[in-house]
Amino acid sequence: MSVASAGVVGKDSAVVLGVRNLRLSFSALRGPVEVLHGVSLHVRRGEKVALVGESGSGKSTIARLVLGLLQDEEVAAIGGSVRLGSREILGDQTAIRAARGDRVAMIFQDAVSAFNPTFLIGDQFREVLRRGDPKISNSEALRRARAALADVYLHEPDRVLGSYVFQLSGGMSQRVMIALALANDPELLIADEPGSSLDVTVQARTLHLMNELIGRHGASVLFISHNLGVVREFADRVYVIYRGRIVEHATAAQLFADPRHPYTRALLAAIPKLDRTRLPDTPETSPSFADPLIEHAGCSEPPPASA
Amino acid sequence: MSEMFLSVERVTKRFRSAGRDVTALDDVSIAVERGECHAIIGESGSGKSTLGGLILGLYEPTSGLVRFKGEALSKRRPLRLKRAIQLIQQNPLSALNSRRTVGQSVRLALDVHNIGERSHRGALVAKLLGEVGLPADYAGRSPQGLSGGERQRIAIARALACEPELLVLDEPTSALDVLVQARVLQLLARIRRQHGLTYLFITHDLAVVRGVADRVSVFQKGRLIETGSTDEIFAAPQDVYTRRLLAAIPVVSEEEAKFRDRFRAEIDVEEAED
Amino acid sequence: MTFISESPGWRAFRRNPTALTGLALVTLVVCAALFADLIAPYPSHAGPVGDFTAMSAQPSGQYLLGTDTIGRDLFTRIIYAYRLSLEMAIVVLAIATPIGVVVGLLAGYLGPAWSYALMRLTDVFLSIPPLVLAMSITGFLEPSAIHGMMAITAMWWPWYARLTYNLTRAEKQEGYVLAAETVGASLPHILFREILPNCMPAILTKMTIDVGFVILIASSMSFLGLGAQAPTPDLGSMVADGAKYMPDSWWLTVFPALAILIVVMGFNLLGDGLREAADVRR
Repeated sequence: MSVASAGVVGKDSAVVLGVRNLRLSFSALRGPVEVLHGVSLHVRRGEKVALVGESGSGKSTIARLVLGLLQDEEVAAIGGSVRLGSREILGDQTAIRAARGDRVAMIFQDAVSAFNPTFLIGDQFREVLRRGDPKISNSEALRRARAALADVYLHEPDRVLGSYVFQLSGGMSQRVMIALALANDPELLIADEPGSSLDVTVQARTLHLMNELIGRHGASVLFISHNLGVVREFADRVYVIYRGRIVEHATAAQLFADPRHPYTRALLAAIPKLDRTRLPDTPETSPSFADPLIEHAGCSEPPPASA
Repeated sequence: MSEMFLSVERVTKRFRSAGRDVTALDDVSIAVERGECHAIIGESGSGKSTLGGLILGLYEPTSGLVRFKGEALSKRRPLRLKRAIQLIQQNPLSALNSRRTVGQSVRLALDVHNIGERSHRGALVAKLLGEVGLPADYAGRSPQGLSGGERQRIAIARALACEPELLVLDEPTSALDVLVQARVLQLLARIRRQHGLTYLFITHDLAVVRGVADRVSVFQKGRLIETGSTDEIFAAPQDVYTRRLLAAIPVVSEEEAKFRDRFRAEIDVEEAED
Repeated sequence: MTFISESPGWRAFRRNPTALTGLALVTLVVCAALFADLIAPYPSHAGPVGDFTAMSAQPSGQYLLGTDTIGRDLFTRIIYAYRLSLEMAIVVLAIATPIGVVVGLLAGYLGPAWSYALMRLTDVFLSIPPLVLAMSITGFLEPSAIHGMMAITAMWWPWYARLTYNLTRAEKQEGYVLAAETVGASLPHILFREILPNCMPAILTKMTIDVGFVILIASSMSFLGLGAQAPTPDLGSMVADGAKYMPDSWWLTVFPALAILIVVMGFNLLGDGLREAADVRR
């Protein structure tokens, strides 16, 4: 786990996920509450992009919108565009459902609750593999499930496949979830705070493993996190989000060497440091946190795709 | 030094869980001096919260003894000892009763321990809220709708209302956003100085420990594996587990990475299996 | 993602047609019982004496729901019967709920030995079929509305003990209980000021639904002759008495039975609506 290389992938490589001017408001008694004020971001093929912000910034809302998981809420208005490849999926539930689990996969913060507690892990593997290949035979599904578990260093795949999720440790269920998410070679992996409920040593191993596997599968990643330290070790490119607005966009190397937005600077300053014996002394808020977006050299949104 | 402020003497605690005995703490001894901030470091299952629970009297040790200023602490303890040892919990959302106002929650301690004139307690609550940086009119509000940081400040005010001598802080900032955490850590440091409090700071976050603690005890699987001054532990951790903990921490700057990677060199992050 | 608005629970309630139906029915019944003296066209017919010139009269403009075999206005008697039923339900719940709640709080909060003893006691009461218990109590004593109420109370509190026990066990895990303990709060404070207020929404919802069920049980008992005795107007005995004159004087049975249906359904729908509203808030 070294610091990710600058790794700005060539401008010409395809945009896997393109979010453009995304606006979202929920309805509340006193009128609509706007949570996303025109968010634009993109992920290119093979890129690991982080979206980092505090709770209430709207970062997880974006992930749920991309996965079409917001339809149950009292959404007042959605505007803008979300494209998977060249296909517009905002408001198109059938397109989202077709993509989910096959072209797009998700890793959640809490692995245990991401599984159905009443089905064996093996059954859930078969279900997911079938979504990628409806004609897959049981023996072929079993073979691929075993291989996927071997990839995440689970040495007794048959025991895991014959278990329920509550029979696995926290670290193991995270690994099984990673294996399951990558089973169909998705183009895009959305990871929402992976491992943040785990102990630091387990989290470090989990992220390391995720990194290795993503490289092998060639998936693109949208990595959602509140932890700048984790982002620094994992991402190629970073968006910093504050209260529903992207405030800084840079490569990981640029962001950590030269943070420019007052909010990003405050976030970095507020983290207690291993090499400092003094506690950070930063303000909790400042009007300057709402300053306009700062984009670093070489980072900009691609022109709108012509569908 | 006649007697230790807080001493944990060869304490073992076993729980019965699903028909098996689980050893949460295994022959642990710790000494905490008055006025110091003593960090208890460990991951889940290390027994660090069990230690806090024993000191607070949530359970009785299976063997061994906890002493507070020379006096043995058991589960049943006089009100005077309860008052002296207070707790700040990890989750500020559940730590306040949403059916009671902020003022009622803070005032409870004043009523229980008969602190101040009855007619004066409203003003005392306002003063306590002011001390943790909240306006006095919060006393009439419900905790619902308050942020995690505000709730944690109220919990601190409630603990201060008891005029305690020892605060057990069980992961007090790990549920907070990083900007809020920085403010709450500053507040806790100021309160310790002003009130001459002793802290038992239970956490998994070594970077926080560096900034707050005078001494550190590292726990793993119920055993105390290393104890020393914060400077000693960070300069030269003796145990491989402490080094592994330090090596696993995600950092945000080159200097910090250099500091950490000293420990990383000797450790293969992948070596351990579940 | 949560948003704070004035009261999402109330909004959910207002948009829930069955809850509103329940509220309307309950309002109707409660108003009828409260203002019985003003509404009832023949208040004296609540007693033993009717109008012998109009015995078993069909429903008409003069007697809205007809008269019984001794010429008493059925509409009047149903309104007064509502008053009695609601009084009974309120008395039963006013006694059964506090007993059950205290038992449940203690069993849920105290150690395993206490909770075992209290909950097994509760189970003993729950294992006796309600009507059988009621029949044996009124069998030993003499049948009357008071003894009927005693019988119903004896079999009703365990339900509140069990409900409160489960709620308390869940609340006990919350940090605010631990906080009150470390501050040094007394047992009564922790039970009644900290835990109980958090259990109240569920308890009140159950009480609402139970008003209907208590009335139903009380009516069943008086239908069997174990409850209120003549000449007190009671829905259960009215149905029983009228059944002898079916089908010729059908109104004697049908209208009291409908009256029972309305009140039981009203409280049930209202209680369900409240429960859903409370779920939304959570």
